Amino acid sequence: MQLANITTRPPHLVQALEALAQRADYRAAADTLLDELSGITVLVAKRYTNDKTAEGLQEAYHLTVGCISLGISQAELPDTDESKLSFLLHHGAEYVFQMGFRHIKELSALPYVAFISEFDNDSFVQQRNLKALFYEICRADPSATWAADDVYRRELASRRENQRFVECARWLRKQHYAGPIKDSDLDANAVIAIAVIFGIAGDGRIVARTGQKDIESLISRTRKTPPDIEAAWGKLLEHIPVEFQPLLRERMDEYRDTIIKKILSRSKAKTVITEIQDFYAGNELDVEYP
Amino acid sequence: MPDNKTNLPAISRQVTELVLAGSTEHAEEAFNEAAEQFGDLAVVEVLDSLEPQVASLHLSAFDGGKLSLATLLIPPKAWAESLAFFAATWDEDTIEDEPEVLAEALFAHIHGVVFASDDHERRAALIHEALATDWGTTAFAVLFSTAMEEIIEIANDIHNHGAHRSGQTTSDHDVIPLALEIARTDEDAWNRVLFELFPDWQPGANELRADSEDDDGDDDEHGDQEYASGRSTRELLLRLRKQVPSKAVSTPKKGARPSLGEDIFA
Repeated sequence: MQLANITTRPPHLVQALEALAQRADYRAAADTLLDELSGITVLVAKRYTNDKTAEGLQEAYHLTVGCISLGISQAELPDTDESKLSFLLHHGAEYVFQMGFRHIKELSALPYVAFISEFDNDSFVQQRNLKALFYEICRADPSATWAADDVYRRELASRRENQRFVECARWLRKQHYAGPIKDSDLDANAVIAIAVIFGIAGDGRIVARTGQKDIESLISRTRKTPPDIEAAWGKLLEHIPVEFQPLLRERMDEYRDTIIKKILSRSKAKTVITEIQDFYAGNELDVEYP
Repeated sequence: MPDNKTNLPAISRQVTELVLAGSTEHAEEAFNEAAEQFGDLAVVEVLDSLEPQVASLHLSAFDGGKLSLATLLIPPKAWAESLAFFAATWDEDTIEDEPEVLAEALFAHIHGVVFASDDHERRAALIHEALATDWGTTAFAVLFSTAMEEIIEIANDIHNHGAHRSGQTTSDHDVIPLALEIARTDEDAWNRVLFELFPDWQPGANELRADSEDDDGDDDEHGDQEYASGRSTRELLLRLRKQVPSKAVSTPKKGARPSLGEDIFA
């Protein structure tokens, strides 16, 4: 029988401290670390929790443990306690905390979903998001098992992906056939979907936004003279920068047998339009019926 | 008592732990047991060996009514040192908002210790040791600042007639006996407190005045020359708070890198 392979480990800071306890002469280093760690805890309490209550300090203590552990975990060290310790002592707890906190900041600057709204530029919202992320990833109980570095890595990967969608969508908006689209809200998935769907027309135009009327005319045009979809998409891709091409190709593979088939099929135009509106064009559909 | 010596470190460690754990009642019980077993002198020794902040924490739990062996037996020097930590728990908001409450607590403490026994020598020693320190001087000045008028009256009286012939005041304010006690037992100490309270006073050259805020503005220059106004209770409380020794200041780490401070979030 195959057993699940579960490794449990304490936060990296705790691992480093365990290595310190093994050293023959740890007094001076321990004293310095203690000073630094308690100093950091107070600063965290002042800024994020509450430095006047025991709960606030306890919370700040957990946040400190987690943030320093995150700093150590992302430094690409050999996986030994000793190397974590030397890293910590070499840089000092404060700098390692700073590293951890910068990771959180970096993460917080990336979009949580592939949807940008004007609230995302509000500094209050940004601070709130930073705090929420700091709490979510950095709260670590030193006596419990710790896996926040994995959480961080997954979150970073998913947000980077979102960021790619957003960048691609921004580029598409700029190239919109009827002139660049300026809107503080951006539904990146919808922009890409619209571009791919309208790409089947084969006229090489980049469409980043649409209205119901445009969808109707696309359907009637393509039903009248079925286009060579692969050729049309190839033409579209010619205009797209290399870095965004894989992203669009993915969408094309996804749509080829789903929505595109429906557009060309004999199902009622109204059903198809509704589906595009509901599942593809999302917030990038002009509501007015001109 | 050479036999007892061996027990004392254990007792002071036990007391320290109990006090730091917030269990002053049990610490007091330990004192009582030690007193019964080894005599009062043992307790004196334990009190002497406690860290001043621990002694302060313990003593402050027994102000106002609750009697403590420690209050009765603490060696004057140990008490003087523990006084430095009395203000450790004050924050600036409280000092700003309710200075009277803090001054009241300080008075209860000092009065409780100084007048715990009728032993005049002990009283004199307590006053002497406390006022030999800067924080002790400030602490007493805080008490006197709550009764400016009366203290001015006494100060002038003492200045004119000497400490032993004066003492007839019209007031029955609580701090008066304490003031007289100081003036009579330790003249230098008395002068130091007065100086802490009225930094601008030059006996003979100008007069003491209770409150500088009364007629500020209309005759500033006139006031500066003729009157020496006292520090307010709030001002003195702040001064006392600032004198609480902090470990960071007393032991600067050598070899430690400079702290990033708030930049850890940068």
